[in-house]
Amino acid sequence: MRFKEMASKISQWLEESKEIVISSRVRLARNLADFSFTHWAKKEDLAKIVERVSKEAKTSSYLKNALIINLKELDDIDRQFLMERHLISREHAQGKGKERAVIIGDKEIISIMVNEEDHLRIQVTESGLNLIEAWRLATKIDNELEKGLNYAFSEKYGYLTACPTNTGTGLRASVMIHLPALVMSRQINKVLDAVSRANMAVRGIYGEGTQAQGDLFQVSNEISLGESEEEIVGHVEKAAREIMEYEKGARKRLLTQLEERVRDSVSRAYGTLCSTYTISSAETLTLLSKLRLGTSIGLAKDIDIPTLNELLILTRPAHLQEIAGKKLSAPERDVKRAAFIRSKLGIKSSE
Amino acid sequence: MLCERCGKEEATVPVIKIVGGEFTVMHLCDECAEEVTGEIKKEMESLFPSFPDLFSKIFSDFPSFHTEFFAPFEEKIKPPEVEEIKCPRCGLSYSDFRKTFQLGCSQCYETFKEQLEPMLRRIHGSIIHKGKVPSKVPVKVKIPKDEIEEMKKKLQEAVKREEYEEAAHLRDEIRVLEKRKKK
Ligand SMILES: [Zn+2]
Ligand SMILES: [Zn+2]
Repeated sequence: MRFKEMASKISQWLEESKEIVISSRVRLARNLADFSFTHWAKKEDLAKIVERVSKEAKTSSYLKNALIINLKELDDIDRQFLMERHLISREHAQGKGKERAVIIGDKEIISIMVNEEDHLRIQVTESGLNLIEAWRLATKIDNELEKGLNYAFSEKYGYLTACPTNTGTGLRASVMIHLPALVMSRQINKVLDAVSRANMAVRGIYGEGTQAQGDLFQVSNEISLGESEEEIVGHVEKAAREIMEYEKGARKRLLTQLEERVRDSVSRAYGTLCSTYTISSAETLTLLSKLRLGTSIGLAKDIDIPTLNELLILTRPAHLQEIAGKKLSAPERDVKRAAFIRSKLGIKSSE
Repeated sequence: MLCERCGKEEATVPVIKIVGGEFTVMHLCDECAEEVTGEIKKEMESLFPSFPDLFSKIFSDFPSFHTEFFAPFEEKIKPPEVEEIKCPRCGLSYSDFRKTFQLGCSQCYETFKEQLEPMLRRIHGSIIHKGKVPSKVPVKVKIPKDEIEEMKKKLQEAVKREEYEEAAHLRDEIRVLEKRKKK
């Protein structure tokens, strides 16, 4: 385990996040023309790709103090930790023994996965609804990297990716969005259906569909070919804005028509979090969602969004273990999690 | 507390119910909650009637086509010999691709062109890239002439087969490529 220091704080993009739309992310998929795609490439070639990309990254003005981490050298908890911070994907965390790396820029805004499904996955994450900024920065990094790297590109199909779902721009624009009122008023399925009819994908950040824990969803484009980057980013941004309006509308309705009920559920969530001595990560997500809703509609005034963001990430299993500096069993984590939550909410421990 | 509906079982689920536009909370047992939820769903829909309509209006300028690309594609073209096609550069066969949905190398896009293009169109609604071009590739994108000729042939065939949707796609794509060539 080697991320103890990093585990005590959340990423900057999350620190500054707003209500409803928590963060915006843009990812560019790129491959080196001289090698087979990751899953089909030889081991020696994968090592060469890591070497080449790392070398090129070091010359980028955006990656001056970047951390270059070979994932093979990390243990399971470290890799899960990077995943919990959204710096690498689940697939990248799990790939066994494969030559692969992650390049993490200053403040964790930029992360480049090397040898995920594609040779490069350049990711930029910004706070709130800010896809355009994220896309601009990703493009600048891409411009720098392409000077030294020979990308697989076709004049007809655009950037060539391992999976045909990413061909063309290689762009995926996504937002992380918190929709508790739409879930509570049972409108979420309609919204999700409408979004997928517009050729966008929706999935739960933690868990799938309407079972999404913590009412956190990710909305992203499905089309990467035949539309320009500006168009794709614009569509996702617009969809996010619409969904945000529906969520706001649903919050207003809940508050005017069901005020006691909402108040009750927010203050019960607060009460439980303040008095818990052992709590699972699933229950934590559920209660934090209620508290976040309460904070943004003025029902939990003494709690701020940054505290809730901290509680969201720092209570994840690998974070708790990094902070403890050792492997913990699930029941041990539940106790640590409860203690951490109480301390963050300013409750003195009676132990 | 006993269930407000049947009065027999222990109430375990608070359910929000609307009576004449007013919300009330009912405390129900699991079984009654299940039954009541169905009714409530309908009522909720009448309470938020604007949702589906508004959405379809907002999203009307988005491209719309279905994305179930693999299944219909499979039915349409799958002569057994396709499975045997192998990429000369990386050695990936079409059946390898079908198993993982991952291509082997950039050359695969040429190798499996006949199979990939309909698939790309199904996924993205287009097969022609419209976005960023790396600085190393000349801005005046060089599309080989026979590529356009080939597509024109396909267009004629599509018209002959009365597959007008396919023909319309090809027509648009040829236009884009020709325009790009002239620049
Ligand atoms: Zn009952
Ligand atoms: Zn190949």
